[in-house]
Amino acid sequence: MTWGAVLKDAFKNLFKKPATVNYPVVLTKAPEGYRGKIDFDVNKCLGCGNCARVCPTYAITMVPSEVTKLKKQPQIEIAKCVFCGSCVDICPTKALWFTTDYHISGFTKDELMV
Amino acid sequence: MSYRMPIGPIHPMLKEPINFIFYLDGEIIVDAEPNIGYAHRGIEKLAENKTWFQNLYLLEKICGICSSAHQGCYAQGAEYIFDVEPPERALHIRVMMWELERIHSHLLWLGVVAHLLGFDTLFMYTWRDRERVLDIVEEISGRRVGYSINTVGGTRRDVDDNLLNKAKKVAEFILEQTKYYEKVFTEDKSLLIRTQNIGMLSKTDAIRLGTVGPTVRASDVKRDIRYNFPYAIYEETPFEVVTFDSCDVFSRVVVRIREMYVSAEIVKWIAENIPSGKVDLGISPFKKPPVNEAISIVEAPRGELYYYLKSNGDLKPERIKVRTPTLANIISVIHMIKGHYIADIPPIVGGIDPCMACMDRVLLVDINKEKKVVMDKEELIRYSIKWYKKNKDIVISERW
Repeated sequence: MTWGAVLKDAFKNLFKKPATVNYPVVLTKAPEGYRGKIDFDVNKCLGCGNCARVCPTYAITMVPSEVTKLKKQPQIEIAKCVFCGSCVDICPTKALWFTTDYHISGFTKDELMV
Repeated sequence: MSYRMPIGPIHPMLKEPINFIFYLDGEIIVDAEPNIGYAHRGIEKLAENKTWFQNLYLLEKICGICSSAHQGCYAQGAEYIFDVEPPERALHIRVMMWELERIHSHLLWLGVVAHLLGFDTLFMYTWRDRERVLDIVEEISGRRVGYSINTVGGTRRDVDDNLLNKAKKVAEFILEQTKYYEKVFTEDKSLLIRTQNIGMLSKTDAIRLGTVGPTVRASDVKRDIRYNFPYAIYEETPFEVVTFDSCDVFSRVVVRIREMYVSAEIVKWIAENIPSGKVDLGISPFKKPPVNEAISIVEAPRGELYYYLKSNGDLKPERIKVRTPTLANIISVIHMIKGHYIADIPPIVGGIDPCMACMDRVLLVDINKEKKVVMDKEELIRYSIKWYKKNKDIVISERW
């Protein structure tokens, strides 16, 4: 039984690099396969609506579109999204995918629409 | 002179909302009453309105720390209902995530206990090392918390050799660091004074009160779901159940530290012995299950986690019932705390690793009559109408 069992390491750590990252100045790189902000390519989309049906938070709504085959395209509310990836997994044409962008905030709802 | 001291629902000592009423004789606690329900979110009812596959992502939100235990437990029960066997490789990945989760949960708890005892340096050290575990978890699943790795019929992502090597390195790092933490927690005098002979829970009381997880194992009871009712691959996994016999807060610290050794060894074993093959059966999210019901239990970082699932053949489950380990353990706090000083409340309440948001579900506890009442909807409605008729005048005068 001693007093100050961590003192030795506390002194050692004074001369080491900090374990934290100076966040807004230095940005950490998200690993490959990170589930960040969802991106969408309307040219690949069929308009089948599977993504809207599997979404657990009902963040995806199908809106009318001129480009897709079935005349519908998904609109994703990132503010509602829980980044589970159900829509990415089920998409038959891989029109939805995750980016490694983790800066997801905005002043208006429209900024958080994909 | 006797006092009645309420603590919570919002209080600096508590990390999550719960209300305790302590009955005091001077500085000494004579009795305690926990009042739960401040973080009730209605998840069980919400789960009845979502499909079997959508619920995977709802139920993992019950707890941020043990999200994989919740999701895995639900997936395990749902696999029984769908009558499918997940592939061996998927089970190995699932168990690896569970064990990595146990390591980071225990590291978090060690930090919280050090912080509650006023030892913030140690709090920073444990959370620094916890980041290493969270980094590997993020690489495997794509997220630091809420991994969403499990699905009905396997796991959603595979791990390659590179990731397995990294996981093994993290396990080795944790083994080394845990030795250091064991040394500090068992040798430092300022920590021993605050933990030894505090919050005693004898072996018979631990069994009588139905405590689970590290809390019961710290009272020298060999009760571990992984050992008593092996699920997934735990039957063939070599591991020991950690117990310790001093029955106080110190014992709970030692059990959790030694469990980190065991978990790190399991991660290493899986990284070396994982079989090849596919990880997912590819069940369609729109598939309807047969009429069936299932009970699924796993050993979450805090203890036994229980799920009851019922299917009526529809796309949505008929009933999902969750019992989390904190609900089983919170009763033992009353027993532990009697006869101690007010200053001992933080380590004793913190000692069971409480997770309030997990716990708040529909269980009515009538403390005055010392009986538990679980009501169904009809009964509750009848009860509420009757009660309001009887107490109409009092309620109105209180509120307006």
